[in-house]
Amino acid sequence: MPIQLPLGLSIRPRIDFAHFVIGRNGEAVSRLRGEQDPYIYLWGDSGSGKSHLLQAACQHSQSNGEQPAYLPFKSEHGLQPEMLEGLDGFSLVCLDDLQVLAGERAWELAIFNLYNLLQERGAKLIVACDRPPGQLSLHLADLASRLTWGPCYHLFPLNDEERLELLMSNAELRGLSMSVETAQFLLQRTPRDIHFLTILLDRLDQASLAAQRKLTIPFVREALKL
Amino acid sequence: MDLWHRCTEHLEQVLSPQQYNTWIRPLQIIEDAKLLRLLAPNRFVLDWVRNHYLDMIQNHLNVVCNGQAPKVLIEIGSKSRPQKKQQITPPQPITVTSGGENTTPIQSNLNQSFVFDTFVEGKSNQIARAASMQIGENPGKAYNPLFIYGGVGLGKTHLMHAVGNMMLKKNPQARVVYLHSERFVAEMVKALQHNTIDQFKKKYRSVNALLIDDIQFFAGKERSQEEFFHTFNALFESQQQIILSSDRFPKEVTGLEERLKSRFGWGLTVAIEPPDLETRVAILQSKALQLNAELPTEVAFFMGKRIRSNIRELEGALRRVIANATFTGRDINLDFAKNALRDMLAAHDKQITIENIQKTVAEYFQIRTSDLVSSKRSRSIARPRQIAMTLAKELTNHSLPEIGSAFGGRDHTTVIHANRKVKELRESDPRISEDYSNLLRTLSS
Repeated sequence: MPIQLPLGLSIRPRIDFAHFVIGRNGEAVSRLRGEQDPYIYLWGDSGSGKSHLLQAACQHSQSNGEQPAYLPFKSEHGLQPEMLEGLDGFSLVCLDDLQVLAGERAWELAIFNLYNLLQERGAKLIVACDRPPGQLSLHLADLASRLTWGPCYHLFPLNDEERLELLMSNAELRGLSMSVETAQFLLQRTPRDIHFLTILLDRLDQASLAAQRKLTIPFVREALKL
Repeated sequence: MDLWHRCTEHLEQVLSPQQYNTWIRPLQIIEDAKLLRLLAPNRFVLDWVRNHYLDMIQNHLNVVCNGQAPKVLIEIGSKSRPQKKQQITPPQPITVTSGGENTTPIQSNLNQSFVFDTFVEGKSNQIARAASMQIGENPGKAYNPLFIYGGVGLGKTHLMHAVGNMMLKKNPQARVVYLHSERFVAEMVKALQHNTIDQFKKKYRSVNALLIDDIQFFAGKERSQEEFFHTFNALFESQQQIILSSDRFPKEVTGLEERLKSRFGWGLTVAIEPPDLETRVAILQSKALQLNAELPTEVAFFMGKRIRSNIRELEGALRRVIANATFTGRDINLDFAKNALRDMLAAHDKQITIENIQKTVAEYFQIRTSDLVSSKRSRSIARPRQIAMTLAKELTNHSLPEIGSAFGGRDHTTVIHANRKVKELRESDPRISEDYSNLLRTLSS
């Protein structure tokens, strides 16, 4: 049988609130969607959904006709404090992986200034980090105290059922039909980190398209060499 | 669908979500038939987009438009900010146009929610508050300059805004400007770059009140200090009000010129201390009222006892409890608050250990940690040791024998003695009192 070569494009799962599996993080999500808090701090381990939520908040803000900005300090390299200039004119600024910058004076000062300006202008700031604000080793006490000035949420990772739900809904978004059995099979045999599951789905997406096969357990086992 | 929208749909598919959200989403667009102008917030974003994505954007547009695509340009700029659909208690900057000679509008940067009515008075801040109120009543005459100093998150900024708001209420034509010292520096640098230093000078020398926060950030910036020195003199001579804040006593701000330090002391210098428990409770109750929430007294006491570092953190915790109550539809009571703040308090407790206290105290007094647990009895070692023991009793749940043992196997009666001694000294010696407050703040922030 001829193999169909997939295009180098895949449908990316949408990063918005509707595609976030809430799990035990209902309160945090409701505050992020709301307008009550000018500032929110999120923290949690890798894979707990911080980046998704920040980007969802940006998407939500833009769909309301506002101007958001998202800055991921871990995944983008070569960023400089100068890139915060002018962001005080935005309606929402989201800073991801703040721990990467802790201890760097120029960055701390730039974030401190941005915080003050956003507050003066009634704009919103959301910060995400791998640890609570009190455990960041910051030089600038003025910034440290400001980071505690709002609701602080520990994001809980998904439990097994929620992971199953996420895996299946992400598969569906890609137009793949995945049975509960296949999803359970995957979760029992692969690392359960959300990032890894996304990569896995990308691979299955390509393999399924190339082989024109459904995601049965035998196919998944063969495609991923499990 | 407009062209740019089609282009972003394509980019959203080919770029990673991070790349899209970081570099494409913040761009603003001005579009017409021949030109698509992308507005970047700053030079850094402009360069990045130009180097990484501009060709991709232009190529995609060429494909979509069959070679008739508008030219894509990128520049620094911004369209006026879209209004939020709703804003709860927006701290709005006020633009005031004065009468008389100075007709240039001036932005006061005052947050209208920072007024005297929402400032909770306690022993720790009553002098600062009283002095500020007098200035609000009688600007330029009562005390000039007013210098407010104290640790972070204790209400210095709130007081400065409150004075400014009061002045404007009494005289809506007054030219009042609040700004952080960093912004003063940044504006001055920009003025120098754009050759507009004369306008800058004129602007700040023509105000009726200049409120500059955190002047310790002037440290080491000689040109800014020089400019500020002249601004200060001009305002002082014309009896316009100056209010300054800092994290420490003016003479102790390092990196500031002597002539500035001495001028800062010409008026009144007042301290704001960390609030005591009763004041923390009152602050929580006042904030809860502002946020339309019911906060039972026992919950306020529980929170006030557990969160001592600064008022911002207290307010953050309160917002979290209220958010939890709104989300679950439950009333706030003690168990509820303990549960809502479980993570936050656990993170707190985790951080404060006897080792951490010893390390912090040793660094503060510039001695070695090993000195604290040694048998040395010279005052330069014994005093810090007593302070560290007292902090260990105050901030941890260790028993007194455990604390004694962690300080080189000392008896628990030594810990009791240390506590008593430090309490006495805090009342009789302002220096010790300040050292203790500083350490308490460092450890519990």
